[in-house]
This record gives sequence, structure tokens and C-alpha cells, in this order.
Amino acid sequence: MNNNTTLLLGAVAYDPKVVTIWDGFQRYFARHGLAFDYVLFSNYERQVESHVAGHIHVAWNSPLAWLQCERIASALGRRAEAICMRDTDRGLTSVVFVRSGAGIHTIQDLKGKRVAVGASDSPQATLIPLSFIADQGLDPGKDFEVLPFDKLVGKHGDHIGGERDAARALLRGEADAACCIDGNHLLFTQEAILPAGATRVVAHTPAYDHCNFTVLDGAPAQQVHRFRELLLGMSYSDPEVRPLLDMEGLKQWQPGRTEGYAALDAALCRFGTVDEFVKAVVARCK
Amino acid sequence: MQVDLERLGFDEGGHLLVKPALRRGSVGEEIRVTGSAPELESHLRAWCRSEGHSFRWLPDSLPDSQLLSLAVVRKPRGGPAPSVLAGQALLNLKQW
Repeated sequence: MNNNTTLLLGAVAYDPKVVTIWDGFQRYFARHGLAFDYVLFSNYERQVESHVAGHIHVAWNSPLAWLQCERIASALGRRAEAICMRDTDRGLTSVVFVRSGAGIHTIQDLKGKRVAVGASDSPQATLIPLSFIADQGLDPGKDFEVLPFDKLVGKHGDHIGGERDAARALLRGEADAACCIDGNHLLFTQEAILPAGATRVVAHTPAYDHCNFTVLDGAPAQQVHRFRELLLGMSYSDPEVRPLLDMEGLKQWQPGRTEGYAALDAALCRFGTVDEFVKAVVARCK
Repeated sequence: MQVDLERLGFDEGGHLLVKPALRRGSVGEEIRVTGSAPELESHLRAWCRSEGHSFRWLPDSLPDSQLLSLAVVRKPRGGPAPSVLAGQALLNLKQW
């Protein structure tokens, strides 16, 4: 690749606003001399495989997609790097919540109960909380029933409809507990899906990280460097970029880090969620 | 400066009391936030993250206490990280 290479980013279209966001970033990068374009995928698995195949240079990955990419790269003797993330991608927790007055005070009280979760591939509303509950000694599907709300599988829970449905199921009495990101518990109270005081959080997971921009070895180094530099240089006080940052849900870009994916990695090892996909992609790439 | 939310939660508009206190505080000033709403911890954590404020808990301020006490520190953009008060959580609030 030469210095004139247009940096090509992949992102998953979990919402129509994704087009507006990346069109805006494209204009911003162009103003700063970086040739940039993007490709939208309908699901993260297609994006990860396209990334490994070299069809895109940078992927805006969910935490699950990051671990898929990292595992595939590792199996192929390649190197994946998380170069940048949002400030809001750092230090999330998920909460397990119940109806107030339901007599459920601890995770142990969930034995024999029904727990509503989000999409089966949602790190925040399914994989991390179920693994967290399992860490407390309750085996999902054995010690308690799991009630999944598989909305838009392939988007790794970016579409929060599954979490909303889980919260509604809890209020309807179809489940005894539900799981979601801490911020969505607050959001659902603001949306009046959860009336104030109607639910109680019984446990938080340890903090974990969310999305990142992923590059693989072989990506055009100069363009990747400039891309990262421009992201980190964006200021929320700049009226040109502020609307883009608002839509993407951040105040400031931060350097990438990977230690915050340990909880999800442990969940994947426990449930084997991505084993088949990783194996299949590695086989196709060899 | 102190904001006592008492039993008012963020799901009932508690942030509307915290925000103006932060605006009134000067850079580097600590704002103490106390409250006993059941979900204050998780909601405050989420709110701080969405507002772009850094946030961390210190071990002996963690859960199961009826009264949550936090120290909020306004920080100039790009300035040094504030020191941490023992036994309290610090919110490091940025000015945009």
C-alpha cells in the first residue's frame, strides 16, 4: 500500500444514524487531509471475516468482535491491535435487577428463578452477566432458567431492544430478574419503562470495556497513525465535531486498551460462544 | 460545596441538583455528594460515564452502606488528575 491509500473502515449498521455518523467523520478526516471511506456490514461476524481477509483496514468492533478478531489473528500467527476507543467504552458494568419487594436480595436468591437477558451475542446484557452469576455458583440453564430476548443477533447487543424487552418481561412478571448495562437501567427509568423505585439492583458485574477500533498487522501504518491522531485530537468543544461525538456517544476518544475484555474472554471460554465461528474463519483463511 | 440528595435518586431527577452545583463550583473545588437512594451508585456511575466525567470508587466507600458519600472535583480540561480522598469516591468532572 502506498501513501495515497484511502483508509477503509468497517462498521456495523445497527441503526440508521450510523450512516450520518460516518459521513460526518469522513468529511472531518477529509478536511484534515486523510483520505477515508467506510463500509457498513449487517453483522459483526461478516465484518470480522472481511477484516481478516483484508477487505478493510480498520474495524469499529464490539468487544465480542474484538475477541473474535484477536482469536482468529492469533490462530493465524497475526497480530490484532486496539488503537482507540470512546471514553464511554471504559469501565462499564452490567446490573442484575429485580422487582422491588420480590424477596430477592442476592445472586444466590436466583436459584430456581427465571432471569431475562438480551440478545444471545450481547456481551453486556447476556454473556458477561450470565458468566458473573455463574462465578457466584449458579449455573445458567441448570440452577436458574435463562429467558433470552434475541433481538438482532449479529449486532452484538448494540441494538438495545433485547435489553428493553428483558426489562419489560421483568415488570410483566414473566421473569424474576433481568440484566442490562448500568446506563440502560437508568435510561429505562427515564423512558418510564421502569417506573422509579419499581426495581432494585441486586448485583453489579466488575467493570469491563466496550468497543474499539481494531487494526491487523499489514494495515497502512501512516494512514492508521493519522486516523488515530485525528480521533484523539477531536475536541467536544469544537462545534464541528460535537454533533458527531454526541451521536456516537462520547465526549473524548481515548487510546485503546485490552485489559477490560478479560471478563468477556472468560465468558467466551465458559460458554464456547465463538469457538465455532473462529474455527470456521481460520479454516477458510488457511 | 455539598449536595445532599437524601433519598432522591437519579431516576427521579437527582442529576438536576448535581449539575448546577458543578457549574457553580470553581475549578479544583471538591463537591461532596451524599445520598441514600438505592440505585445511586450504579446510576451515578453511568451518568458520569455518559457525561464524560471520570469516576472511581475507593474500596471503603463501596456498597452496602446506607449513605453514599462522594467527592466531586472539577478539573480544567487537560489538567492533572486530582488527588484521591481516602474512603471516598471521586468524580473528576471535566469542563466542556
